[in-house]
Amino acid sequence: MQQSKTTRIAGGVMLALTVLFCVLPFLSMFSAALQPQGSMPEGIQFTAHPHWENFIDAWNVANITPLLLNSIILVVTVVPCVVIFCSLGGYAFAQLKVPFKGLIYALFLVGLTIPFETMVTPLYYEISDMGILNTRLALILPLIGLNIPFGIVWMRSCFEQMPRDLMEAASIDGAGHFRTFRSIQLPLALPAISSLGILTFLATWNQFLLAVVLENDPNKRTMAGALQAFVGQYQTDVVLLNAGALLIMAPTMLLFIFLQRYFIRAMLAGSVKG
Amino acid sequence: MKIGKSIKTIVAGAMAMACLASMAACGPGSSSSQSNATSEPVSTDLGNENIELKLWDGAGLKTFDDQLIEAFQKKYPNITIKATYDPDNTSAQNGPRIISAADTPDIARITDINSAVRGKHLVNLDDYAKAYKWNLPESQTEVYQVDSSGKIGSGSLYAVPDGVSMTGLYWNRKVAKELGITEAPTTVEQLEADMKKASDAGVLAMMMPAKEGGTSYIYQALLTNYEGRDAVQDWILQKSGATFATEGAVKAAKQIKSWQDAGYFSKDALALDGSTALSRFCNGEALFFPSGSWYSASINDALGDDAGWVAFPGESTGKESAAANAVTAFGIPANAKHKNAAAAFLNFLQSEEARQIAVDNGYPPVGEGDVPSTDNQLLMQVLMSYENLVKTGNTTDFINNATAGIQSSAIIPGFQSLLDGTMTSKQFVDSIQKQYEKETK
Amino acid sequence: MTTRNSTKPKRPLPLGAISLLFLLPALLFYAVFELWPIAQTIWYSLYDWNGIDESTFVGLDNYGTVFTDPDLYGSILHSFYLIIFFSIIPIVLGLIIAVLIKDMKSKMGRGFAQVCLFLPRVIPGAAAGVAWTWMLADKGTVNQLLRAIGLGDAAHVWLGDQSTSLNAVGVIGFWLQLGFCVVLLLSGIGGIDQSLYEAASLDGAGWWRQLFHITLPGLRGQIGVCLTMTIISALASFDVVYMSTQGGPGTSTMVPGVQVYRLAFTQQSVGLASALAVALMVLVLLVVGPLQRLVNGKK
Repeated sequence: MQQSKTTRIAGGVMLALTVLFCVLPFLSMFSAALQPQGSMPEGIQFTAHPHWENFIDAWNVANITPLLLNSIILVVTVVPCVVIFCSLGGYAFAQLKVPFKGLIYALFLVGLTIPFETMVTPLYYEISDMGILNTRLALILPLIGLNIPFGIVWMRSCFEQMPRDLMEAASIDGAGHFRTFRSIQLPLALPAISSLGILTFLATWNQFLLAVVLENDPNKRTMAGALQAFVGQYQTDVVLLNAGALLIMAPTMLLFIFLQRYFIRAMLAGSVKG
Repeated sequence: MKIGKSIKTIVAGAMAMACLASMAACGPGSSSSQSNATSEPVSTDLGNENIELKLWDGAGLKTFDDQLIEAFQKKYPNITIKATYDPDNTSAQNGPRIISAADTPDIARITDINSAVRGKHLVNLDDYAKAYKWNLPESQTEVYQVDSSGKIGSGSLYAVPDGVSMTGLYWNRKVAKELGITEAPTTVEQLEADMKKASDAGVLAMMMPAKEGGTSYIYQALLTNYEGRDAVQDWILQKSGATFATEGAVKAAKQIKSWQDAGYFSKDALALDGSTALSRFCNGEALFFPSGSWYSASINDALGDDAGWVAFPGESTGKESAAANAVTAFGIPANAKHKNAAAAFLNFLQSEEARQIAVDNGYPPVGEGDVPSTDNQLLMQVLMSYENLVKTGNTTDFINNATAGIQSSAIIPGFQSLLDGTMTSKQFVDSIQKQYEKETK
Repeated sequence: MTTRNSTKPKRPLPLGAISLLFLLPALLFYAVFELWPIAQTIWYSLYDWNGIDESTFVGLDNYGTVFTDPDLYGSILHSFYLIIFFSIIPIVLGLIIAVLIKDMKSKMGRGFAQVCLFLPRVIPGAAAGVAWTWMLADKGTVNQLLRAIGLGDAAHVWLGDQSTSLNAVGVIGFWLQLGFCVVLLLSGIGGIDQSLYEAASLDGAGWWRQLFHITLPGLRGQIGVCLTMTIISALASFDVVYMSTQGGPGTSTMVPGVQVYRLAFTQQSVGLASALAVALMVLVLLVVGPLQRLVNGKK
């Protein structure tokens, strides 16, 4: 594409500034996290003696070890469930004949738009009535439910782009449908499934309100919920707070940087069609 | 996709469902499982059977509670206490649900005594008080007594404090000395003169964390000066006829605002939280810091002999005042499994041993015995000023506790708007009273 | 295939039933943990209830309060104002950035820019609140930069001043949403037929003309998705505000998400909180519903 030199330079500068804008808060936190504890850092400053031990202290103050374990258990159970249920459901919408299809699909779409805080109170009582308050299930079950509407919409649009001829070839029984789904359609949908997995992982990992409300024992909460403990305690200081927040962000950031190729490629596959 | 249409159908359907549900006479909450607890006769004898108690409190008090628990377990070897702690900023929100849950702890921090007693979620402690011969000063238990009509301030006892949290004025002796100030102010007039001196010399006069409502402590002291201790306490206890909309309240607000206008607070006061304010004061960045006894250990560590504490000054010397209440008020939920053992812990809280632990953790102790010893000079000043205040009786509970929502819905935003001029003093006072009426109607 | 191991001819299940079987797990979880709570919220909203004890039926009184109490409807207005920062600016700027990234020669550079832009999106919103509280503090990085370029007079306590706080919260939202919009729009640009650009270049069409005549029309669907997702996150914002300002100073940054939480859990007015939640829900549906038409109109 042709473009004038000034446009090009202006564009380059703008892009560089935007990138800087996006990473600046991280740099700012990092700089603050390396200052001596109890001091009042100012903006971004470079120290000759970075205090790396702040990260260890923050890890202990926020009691991150059990929380990390909780978050991992949560993700390991929630993500596969969401991916499997939504693949099945999305396939049904796209390739099979769901009765009252329009209405049921609209129900899912509504779920996509409902502000989450709306449901926190009734969820608390529902979980309490089920007798699973303060157990791992108290977080796992609702998080599966809450991630489903997006997954359904996502997987449906993915399966809709696939060839239909196979389905219409012959009338086949349930097992046949499942076999077609598993051995032909599912492998084709892998890119969409992997990005759904990553998005569900993010939504689950970053959840903090539900963890605070549904788990009375702070040690059963999540990594994101640990921030709350930090901000809330009497004796926090800016340095530890930043070190702790960085620790809490680290797993998702590392995973993203490590997997970004798949992540962005999956998104670019063009499977995003609300 | 005809989503617009479907949405309408769904909304209508849901509305219909809700209406239908509400036709059925029962509203939410009415079918909640009430008291499936075992009732055991009141006794001070705990036998030899092994008992495990559950305790719930705020996370900031973990060290304090752990020491109490350790000492208690030494005394009662057959009882173990398992404690869980909630972050302090969520404990108030979770409190009411925790004490009403089916698997409630045996000993719990009582965050809202009003709703707890009204909902019959707490054990009446009168029998235990008689059995153990508890004898706590009225000023320490007043707000945990509730009469049969649900009014706080007198009647049966429902909770026992483990130590006292009180407000007061920290001052930095070193900064003061540089300004030529040698004595702590004992009247508001002196306080204002000192602040003017600091401000004229380019020193921050008062550390003011208004992000989280830290303005209310000094404000409450001014309010107590103008309206009297009883009027303030009556309002906090929701006595009928009590109102915040008084001339004294407006006058106190005007005074705070005049300090802001004179530049006595830092310019980021509205974005300043308590812990940042603390670390700045510890760095010697201000002359005064109106706050509470809960910071005495940190400030003593940081400033050493330069750290000073004085009760909030009155209009004349000898009229000092403070807001004081329990560090934690422990109660026994109605659903608790081991009520007698829990009561033994509440009894232990009043022992000499527990009082010493309270002081070791930086809190004035409950009860009226001799002041336990401490080598923290700042804490010693706190303890002395508290002892005096117990004598004069010029303490109240915190206005921040008048209702469950008053702190976050009225006091914090109200002071912020007062300081930056969005509200006049009169509007500020009215907004507090309005929120109060909303919740106590 | 139908006569595997039974002698009786097995009747194949009707396709509808099979479809429902496929859908069942998703529908079950969704109904129990989302639809049911929503219905409950609507029910609660008709009561005066502290969340624990007996409740009183009050009809639509709670809704009356939502639309007459300036603190409550004010929070709704704030969330609409945030749409400018959460949706409009990220999409406009995201479009320009996406085109710029597409035109980059270096593959490495393209990857690097995308990773940096998307990074804010992968951290917890609560952590973003903490990061920006620090950025925007009196001694934070923003003021430091302003002073460094000689604009010290413009330095501000951004989150502590009622005149700037809502905009400052908006900037945090912009930071969170930009990367999402860029990546989504970039994917749309990838789907546009390259020959269109080549033909336009041959006709002598410049950069801007290509943007307005080829890129924009080709991105209608993606823009629709961006709008939908970002508007929802503006109207339902919680984490960022909760961790940065708690709605203050005054009530200048109070949004319905935080207000609902505060009413239900701090003030124990579950009925009123539910009414506000329902009002918010209906508003979101009213705004997003028509947008869906825009998205699907392209098919």
